Amino acid sequence: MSDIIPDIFRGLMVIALATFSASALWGLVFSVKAGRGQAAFDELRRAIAPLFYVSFLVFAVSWLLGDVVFYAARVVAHEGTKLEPSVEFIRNGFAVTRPLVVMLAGIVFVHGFLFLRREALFLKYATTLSFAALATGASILAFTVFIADLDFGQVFFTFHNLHPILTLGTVITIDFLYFHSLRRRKLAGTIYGFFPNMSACIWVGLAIDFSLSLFFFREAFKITDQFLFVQTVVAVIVLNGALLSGKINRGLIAAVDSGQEKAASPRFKTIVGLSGSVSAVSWFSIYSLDFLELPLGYPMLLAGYVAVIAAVFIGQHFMDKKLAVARDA
Amino acid sequence: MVSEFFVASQNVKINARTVNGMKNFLPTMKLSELLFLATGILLLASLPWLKSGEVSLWLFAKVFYFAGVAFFLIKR
Repeated sequence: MSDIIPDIFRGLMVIALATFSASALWGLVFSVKAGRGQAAFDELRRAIAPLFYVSFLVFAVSWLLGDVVFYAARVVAHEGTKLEPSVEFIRNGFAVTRPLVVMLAGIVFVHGFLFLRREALFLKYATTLSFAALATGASILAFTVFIADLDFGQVFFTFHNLHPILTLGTVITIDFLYFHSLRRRKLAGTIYGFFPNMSACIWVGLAIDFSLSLFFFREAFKITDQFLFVQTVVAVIVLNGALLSGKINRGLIAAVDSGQEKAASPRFKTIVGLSGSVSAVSWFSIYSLDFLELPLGYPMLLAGYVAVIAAVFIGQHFMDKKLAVARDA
Repeated sequence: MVSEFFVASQNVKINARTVNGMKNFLPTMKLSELLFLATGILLLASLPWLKSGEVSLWLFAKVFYFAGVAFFLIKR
């Protein structure tokens, strides 16, 4: 059991950094749009600030634990396959990214200081700071696994670690913005109208992952229950994404445009909640399983997946109601 | 016998409703969304073959996916 704890923290580190980089990416986009006089986007870039800081905090803690506690003590050992990074490559990754992590902490500190204490300066430099945070976060992700040789393995790990900015990180940012839209109804139209751009990034991110798996097909192809389960979840992501980024998002925009959102049918609200829960849990599942090899069969993995979706859906339902009460009060 | 007939007739009803629902639902979707739906269905359908090491259908599904992404980006 103790062997999987370092992997859990490494997974948490990558997921948090992908979320941080995605919030920096969308903060950058919102800043550029706000700079062009679209006032609603100024509020959106402020709205995602908590996600930016919290994800950095989670990343910093898991990175420190990984660097100082878990991987420092482990011996060098190759695992035999190209697509599973050896502990040596992971250790290399911690070593080469140390200066970047210090730099990122500095950027986040300056961002936070200006955001909380120097309003005018924050408005002036928000775009630059978001770009710096994105570039540094993406550079750390790119070299989380460092082979010290520019071969195909390095190319695979670099792009495999970068695309979660477009996929998982963007999905979490969308969920965050959706919950924000429940409290700030005036922004709902802007947020839902912008979702197709974010969906485009998610589809492109998944296309990068598909391309990589085709590229490294022979090495990557190992039929296990976990592999089949991940393929099932990928199919669910594509099916659910087709509905979520299409009909469901169009329904949200139509409800806002017609001013009838409060009257939106409970059935439609349930579909939105369920589809959002399926999306978040599915993306989180496939990234978590990148780092973990669970000793479970296909039925057990599927049962766990359905149970987590049900739990998240119930949680989302209560949060939705709570935010609606807070909004109406 | 009666109960079997009852269950069977209920199934027919549900299926007819599903077919009608799909007839109304599918035309409201964009081409990229239909391609994504096809990708998802093909990926699920390929699982039994994938289990036995046959990857053709699994790879074929990805062609639909890339076409879907291309249409999504062009027609957005």
